[in-house]
Amino acid sequence: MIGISNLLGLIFLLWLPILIGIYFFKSRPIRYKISSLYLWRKVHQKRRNRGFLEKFKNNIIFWLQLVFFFLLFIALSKPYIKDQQQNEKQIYIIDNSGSMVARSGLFNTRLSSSLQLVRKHAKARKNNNIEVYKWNSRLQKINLGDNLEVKLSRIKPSHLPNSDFVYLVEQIKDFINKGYKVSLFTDSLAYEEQLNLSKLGVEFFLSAQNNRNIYFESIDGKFLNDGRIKFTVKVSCTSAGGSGILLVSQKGLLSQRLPFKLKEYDNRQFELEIEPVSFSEPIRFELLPDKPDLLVEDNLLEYFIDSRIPRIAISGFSDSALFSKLFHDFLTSDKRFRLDNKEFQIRFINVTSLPSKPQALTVYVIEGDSRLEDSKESKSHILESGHPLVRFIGGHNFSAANNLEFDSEIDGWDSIIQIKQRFTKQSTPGLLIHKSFPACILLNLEFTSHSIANVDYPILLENILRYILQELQMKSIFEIGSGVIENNTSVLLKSDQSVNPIGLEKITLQGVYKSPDGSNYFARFPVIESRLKDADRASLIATANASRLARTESSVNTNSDNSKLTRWLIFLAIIFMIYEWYLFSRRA
Amino acid sequence: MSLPDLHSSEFLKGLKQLNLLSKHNFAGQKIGDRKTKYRGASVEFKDYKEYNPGDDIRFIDWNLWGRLDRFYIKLFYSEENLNVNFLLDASQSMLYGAPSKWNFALKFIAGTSFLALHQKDYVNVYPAFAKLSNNISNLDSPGNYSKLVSFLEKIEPSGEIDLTKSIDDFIKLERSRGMVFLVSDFLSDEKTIDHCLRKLAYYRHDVSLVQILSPQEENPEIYGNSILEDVENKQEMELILDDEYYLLYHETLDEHKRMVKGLSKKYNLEYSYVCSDEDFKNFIIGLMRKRL
Repeated sequence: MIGISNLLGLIFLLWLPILIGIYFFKSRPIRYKISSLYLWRKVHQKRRNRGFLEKFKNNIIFWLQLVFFFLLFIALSKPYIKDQQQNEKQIYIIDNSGSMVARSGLFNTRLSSSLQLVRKHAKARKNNNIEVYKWNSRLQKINLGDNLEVKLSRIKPSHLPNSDFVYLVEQIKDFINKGYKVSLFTDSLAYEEQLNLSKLGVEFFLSAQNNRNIYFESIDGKFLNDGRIKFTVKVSCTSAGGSGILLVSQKGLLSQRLPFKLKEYDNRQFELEIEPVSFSEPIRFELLPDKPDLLVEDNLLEYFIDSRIPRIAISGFSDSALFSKLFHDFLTSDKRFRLDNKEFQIRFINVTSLPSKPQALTVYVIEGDSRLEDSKESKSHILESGHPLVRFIGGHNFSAANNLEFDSEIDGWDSIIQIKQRFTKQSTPGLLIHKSFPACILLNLEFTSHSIANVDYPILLENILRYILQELQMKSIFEIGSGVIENNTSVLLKSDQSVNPIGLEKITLQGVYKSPDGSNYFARFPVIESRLKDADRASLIATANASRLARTESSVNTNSDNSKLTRWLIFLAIIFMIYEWYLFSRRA
Repeated sequence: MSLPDLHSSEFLKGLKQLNLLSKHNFAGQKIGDRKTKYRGASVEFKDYKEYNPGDDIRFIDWNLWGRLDRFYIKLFYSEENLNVNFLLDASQSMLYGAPSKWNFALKFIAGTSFLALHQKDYVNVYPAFAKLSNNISNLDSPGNYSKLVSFLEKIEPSGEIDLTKSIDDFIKLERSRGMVFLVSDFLSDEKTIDHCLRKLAYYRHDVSLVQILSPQEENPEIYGNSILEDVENKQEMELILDDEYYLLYHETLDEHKRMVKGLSKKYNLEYSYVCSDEDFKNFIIGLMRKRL
């Protein structure tokens, strides 16, 4: 469809009937002597037998003039090619949950990126029939007149978790049934979620989906009769593609280097037989990309030949400790993890206040009934919206803080927990406060090469929290971890920073903090999204999403194309005019 | 009105090499160059006949007598002349065009007559306009060419042709059969042309139609609001001529030419079309070739 930018051009189109009328006017006749009227009479008779408009049918100069003026006036109207979607009723659902506060670049948060994308989308469609919904713990319509910009300005980061996706899909179905076209702007979606939306014909724009490029799809090992292990290693990549080397190594042996080159959403399968040097030592599979990887954490996997060797090293807890029992139950119920019971020792110490220098590998249980008294309800998580931990928090009466002003509540106790993280790129800080609990569950798991390479780590984290919080209903603080406190060099909070203790740059550091009166606790966890694996499976849908984005951006360029179209029309009009002039002069 | 120089050597050059042939063997009025179907005294052998007393013994075939011991008389075809008639449209419309149709018609008649006179044929020219009169006939030798040309030069086309009447008059006047060249623009209705051609065919003349149109009739140089005046009957017609008219005109002209040609074919007459700006010699050579 074609729209017009300038109504004046259309007014000029009134000239066309005038032009047609001119052809009806007679000029002064010229007398010609001819040999016989016989043929002309026949011609005139034939002409009279034809229809009214037939007289113009073969008048090429008339048609050329008509086309010339038509093109000229259309060009004056500054036409543009309209997308068919412009007439549709549009709904933008913008995720403003806590995870959208995370920065996707130096300056832009995911939310601001999404809002920019919404503006581009709306500009491209030139659609005035737009409704905007914000999506966090519920779907809420922005009722503020017709101005999109005003509506968008009302969307602030909420730090609330997202509602259930199924609920959202139901809402979207309602919209679609009412004839709306729905576009969802969020940070990431799982494969199944993307699939659902695609089936419904919903556009979705993800601001933080492709966090990784090259990764292990699977590593399967089968013991052969001769004691060797036959490995099938599948390496995949996301939209960026890439090349590199798969490094397979064992302790004491030279590593094996297997080069690979992958295209967009490509995968490569390696089959190799390895004779293990020791059953106690893992076989390391490492991806060394040629270019920097977006998520290097998943580039290393260690294959434990003896499955009884624990992949997560937790030690120093006694078997009788409550947490030990729960953790043990959790780990035994989850077949993904195995424990070495001998090292599974947790110490629990009941204290009335937290020590200034907590010991490592110790769970401190604070006795007391302190309640959360936060007038601002400053509770927040800044994790991926679909992160299990976030979902857990959302589903368990946690709420998000509107800001990160710690004020003077925190002092003295710098950090009871530090989670060391080698790669801060993917980390998104999280603040975890529970309304009803006087204390938080604080985990201190050092990231070793074992744990950092385990993409299921966040799931473990989630489950630990879930078990403990649900089962214990405790009013205590737990510290779980090893060898962290001693090596802790980054003290986040000091007494002299009481006014504004946490600078922006420090937010990215992991840690758990407590308010001076003990009423508020803050924890920040690393984010290695367990959903990433699923996200990568959604490669095909993500491609469609990328193309949608490209379409949107190309549509944005429509305005610049308009002038091109206008120029072309004028050019064509001139061609017609020249041809008409040529014919006329030839005839004259 | 500037007439072509019909005496010039430029014009007559090459014409002598052509022969005017007739499709039919017509009986002539005197000895000529054309073989007839009748017995005569030419040198062309026709048949044998058994000798009867009284036959001219000069024609006895003595070679045959030597072989058969019987007398046979040799018979020969007779060779007579032919009537070549030109029925010329001398209406005002023939003066139209540049070069005019009239000039081309005169050139054609002069050239063809030149051939006929050299073949000892009788040449009759009937300028046909309102009334068929003032004709020239029985010119039978090359020496009469000047007489013919001066006659042609004196004709002044005028008025409107009544083709039907002209043909009727011609048939009344010309009793003996022969070649007839009907030279006209044939800008008449189908009924008239059909009537004329049917009559000519009925009297078993060897008829050739020569339709001459001018380039201005082929592609009229008229455009816009115009009053068209017929030069023959002075009738007028006002038209706003545009491309549509031109297309229709060409369509009608083609139809008309096809109609004349179709009628010629219907009566087994020969038809030639020529535009007055065409080369005369090429045309006449083409025409003579057709008659071979």
